[in-house]
Amino acid sequence: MAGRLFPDRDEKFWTAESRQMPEEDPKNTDGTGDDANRSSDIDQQITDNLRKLYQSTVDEELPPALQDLLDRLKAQDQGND
Amino acid sequence: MTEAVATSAATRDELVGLVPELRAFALSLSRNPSVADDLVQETVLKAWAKLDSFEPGTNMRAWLFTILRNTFYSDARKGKREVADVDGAYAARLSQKPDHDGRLALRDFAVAFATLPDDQREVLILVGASGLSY
Repeated sequence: MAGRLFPDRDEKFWTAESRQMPEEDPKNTDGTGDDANRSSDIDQQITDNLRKLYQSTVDEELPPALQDLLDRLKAQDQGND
Repeated sequence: MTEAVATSAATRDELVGLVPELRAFALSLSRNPSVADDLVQETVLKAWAKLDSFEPGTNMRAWLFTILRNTFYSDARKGKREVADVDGAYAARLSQKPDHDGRLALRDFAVAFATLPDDQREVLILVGASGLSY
């Protein structure tokens, strides 16, 4: 074994097969792992909640004061047309 | 009815149709329902007065949101309105029951959202909810 840099390693260590990386988890094919999947799920929940928050106000009836203002503006313009 | 008058009526209708979205944006900025409604009224009045300068076919939503946003920040600079959600009014208006499946409950989300700085709430709502680019 003289001349070997790492004489304590057996023969198998130096074969090509032994230097292959462990098999990848198919879920982590992007190489970023479970943390990325969790983060992406949280991002999606945040986006969903933002939309719900926004849409819940969009779907409300307009308050009477605001509706009155719009009616007055429309009536005023119809008078001018 | 002339073409100009018809176009003008269509433009006004488009503005009126966007008022609910203006309210949602105003509420996300101000976090206070009565302040939000004041902001929307002021925005509508300004937009209505400048409607002749609006170019039909361009993005009215972006135009209205810009007027509302500028009004909000201008008022905030002048200290005209108290915009803090001191009583949790934003979250309290949500009627949704709590979630039990471990997902982020909407009310908790609204409370957390209200604690963000103005500019961050603005970006999140514009990009994440209203679909506008920032």
